[in-house]
Amino acid sequence: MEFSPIVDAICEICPGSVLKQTDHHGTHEITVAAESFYEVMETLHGDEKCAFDMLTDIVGIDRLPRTPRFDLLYILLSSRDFTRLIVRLETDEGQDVPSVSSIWHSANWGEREVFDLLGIKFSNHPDLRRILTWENFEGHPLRKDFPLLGKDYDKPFDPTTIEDYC
Amino acid sequence: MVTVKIDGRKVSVPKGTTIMEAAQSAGIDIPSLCYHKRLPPIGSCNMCIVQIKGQPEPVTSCNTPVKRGLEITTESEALHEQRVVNLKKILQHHALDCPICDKAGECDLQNIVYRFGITDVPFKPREQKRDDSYATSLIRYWPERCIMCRRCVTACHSIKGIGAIDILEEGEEARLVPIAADKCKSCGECMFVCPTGALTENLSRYKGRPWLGQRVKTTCGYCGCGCQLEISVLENRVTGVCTKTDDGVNLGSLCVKGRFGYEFIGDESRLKTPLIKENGKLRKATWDEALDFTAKRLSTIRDTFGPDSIAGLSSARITNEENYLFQKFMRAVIATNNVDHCARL
Amino acid sequence: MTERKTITLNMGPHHPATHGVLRVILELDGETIVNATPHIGYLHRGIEKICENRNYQQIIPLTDRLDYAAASANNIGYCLTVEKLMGIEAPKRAQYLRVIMAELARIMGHHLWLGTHALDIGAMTVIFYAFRDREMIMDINEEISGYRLTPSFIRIGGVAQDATDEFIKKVRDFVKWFPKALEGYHTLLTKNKIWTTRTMNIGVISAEEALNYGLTGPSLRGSGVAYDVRKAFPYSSYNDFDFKIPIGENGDIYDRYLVRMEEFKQSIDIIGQAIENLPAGPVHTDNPWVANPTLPEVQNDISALIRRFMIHAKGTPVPKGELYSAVEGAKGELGFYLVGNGNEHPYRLKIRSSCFYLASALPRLLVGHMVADAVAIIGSIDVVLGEIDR
Repeated sequence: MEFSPIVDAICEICPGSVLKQTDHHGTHEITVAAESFYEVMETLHGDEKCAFDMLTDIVGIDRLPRTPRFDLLYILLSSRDFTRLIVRLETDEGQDVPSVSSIWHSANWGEREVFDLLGIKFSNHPDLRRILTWENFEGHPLRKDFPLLGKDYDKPFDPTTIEDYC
Repeated sequence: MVTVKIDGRKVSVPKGTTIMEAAQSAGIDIPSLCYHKRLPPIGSCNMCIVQIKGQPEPVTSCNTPVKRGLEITTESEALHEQRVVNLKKILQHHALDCPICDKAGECDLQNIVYRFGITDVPFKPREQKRDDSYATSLIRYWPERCIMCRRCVTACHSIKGIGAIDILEEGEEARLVPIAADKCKSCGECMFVCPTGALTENLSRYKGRPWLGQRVKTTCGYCGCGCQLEISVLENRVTGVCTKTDDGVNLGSLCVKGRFGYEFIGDESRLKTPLIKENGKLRKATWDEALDFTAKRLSTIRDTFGPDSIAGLSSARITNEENYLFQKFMRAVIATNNVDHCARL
Repeated sequence: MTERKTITLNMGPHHPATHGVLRVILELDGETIVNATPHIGYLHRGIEKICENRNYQQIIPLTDRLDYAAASANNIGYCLTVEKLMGIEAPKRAQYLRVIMAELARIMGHHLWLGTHALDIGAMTVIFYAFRDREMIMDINEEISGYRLTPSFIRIGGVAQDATDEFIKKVRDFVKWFPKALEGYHTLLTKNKIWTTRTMNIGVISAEEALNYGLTGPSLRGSGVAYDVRKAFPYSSYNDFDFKIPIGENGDIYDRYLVRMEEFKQSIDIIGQAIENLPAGPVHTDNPWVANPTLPEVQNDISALIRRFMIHAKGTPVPKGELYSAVEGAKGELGFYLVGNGNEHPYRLKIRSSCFYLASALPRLLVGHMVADAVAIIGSIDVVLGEIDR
């Protein structure tokens, strides 16, 4: 698939939204500005020229100590001719990212996982709660300042501190 | 200031700087084995060769000073090939000791061989006398691991000014010999600068690999100099002392006490509680008991025999603040001037 | 006046039919499910966080434990990603051996699915035959690598060691035997009236919805989308082999069953072609930062000794860069997003697990069906919790 018509289509609808384009070992990637992110994703899903009907994955990367701190990558697949596109969004601590779960249902759990492990909040998400860690877990494990052995790894384990919830 | 061009970049350095130092100031890393920040350039390993425009042969950058207008290339295919040849020459007599060598894991030779991705260097054992004795019994010398970089000889000579060891003979016959073993002060400077595991500590029974334990930064407690060192700790046991070139006022150098005097730390005969002598035998006591007993007895002696019957001896192993308190205690509380300080307790 | 209330039924993490520690909370109106909420995370081991603190070679056994029912395919996915980032390629013989191990793993995974799925619905005989054949594959795994379930046989740049004669003989025997076994499974289930009644028109999902929910693998192909990573983004010499991708029509449990049964046949064909045309040559690239020097080399060559020490103690340096690469695991598209930092640990390794998105579609698949169908549907999408929870 040729990517310039896609980028042109996006720029037509949301001008100035595509900040950068690169190629990673054969996969095309575009970096999108935060303001027009939702429109770009809608265009990529709905527009005739693009038709990216599957959101394969959402990847969150913590780039501490860079600001903006987080990189969010959306890996899209078009089932028409099986091409991939990666959409990159840079976001900072405390910033909310618009959820794309109304466009692709696979984003529902993908965004929950990013929220659980990295702490990025998504607005308009139907059910934003922790998915892989337990409900009362404190902290976000995949952040770079979270120790590998866990938060209280150097304190002795006290079983009376476990709350009883079912 | 002299301006030269290194890898296309203009670098300005003071007159007399070597090419290698100029490249380092520009952030360019030239590989080397015998270069050490604290030693004068040696030029024995031939790894730091660079090509100067207009000159037919590459030169060693560690001992060549910069001149105005030089154009220097630090990386090229020909240079890389020549460096590999030089490295293979060093490697061919190096013993296959990595599994048992103390230095494996932080060895400069390992790092540079891995960085270059060297393959195919069949081992040719050298026919040399296994002379196990060295200038001091605290350091063990492994002649089959020595790459003859002369760092130890230069360190003993220029950093410490002693010159107890030297390399005799040349070429294939070269050997490191303690020429003035009685002058050796066992300071461990040669061991500190050695890039391979040819000079290792002969003391500690448990060594472990560098990545297994921890390195704890601390200050030497033996005298008032306050040399900075790092203690290797493996499973709550002290296994050795190492230093870094950039650390502290000592810049990595130590004396024999700092380098080898760590065994007292975990010694079994160290006190764990205060002891009070009763009926000729020492028994364990608590701190409160011991302090009460000491205060009572000192007051009794002072009141019975006079303040000058008590003298106080302090040491450099406690802090300045504690020393001040101690002399204040002797002068104000016991009311005597008999207070002294021993630097070598 | 009677009020109609719903019952909440907890299909808890300890349940023989959830194929792992999956918890589904069902809200029932009588027998019909009106709401279903899956809860996962009971097997979360923090693999992605551990990977940030390990060498590239030390991560290989961790990837085995993702989809532990079909372990070799995970290894291949990870090693391919690292190889692409480093710019090296495994030699041809190694690629063929990788294909054989991947297809054997796929057959193993499908055997587990077949046996347990049929057992959940009530057909007890199938699991015994499926596990009998699974044992034959475990023998092959043990022959080549010493492990039965999680071989960890693939390395960055090739495979761990060459195929022995015993291995080739065992694979050939399996290729000869398996089509008969496959016929046996068909006679047990495919035209069985009870089976068809319980599986036809249940758990239906259309192609657009399946794509929207992120389903891949046999669950997507059962709905009619011909997406297979082996054909769409070919890797490891899959282009050399002649195989088809089975697709279904209705997107119900029966179609997904038929797709997987046909995949059995296609996989055994691929293995047959690979083992007959196995090319000669080395099984590992000779890149000095990746190739593990052999013992005779290490005992005679100082540079080999140093490289062996450094590769294991320090690790392989991988250049800076980012890459997404996927393979077709037994359950679907297994992808790895690798962020390399120039040194020996990855900066970030994200594992795109197919079962994660399959489990996320459970609310859509279960609602409207009866409780007994819940078990059938969960079995038909074939989840393995190791991959969901990582």
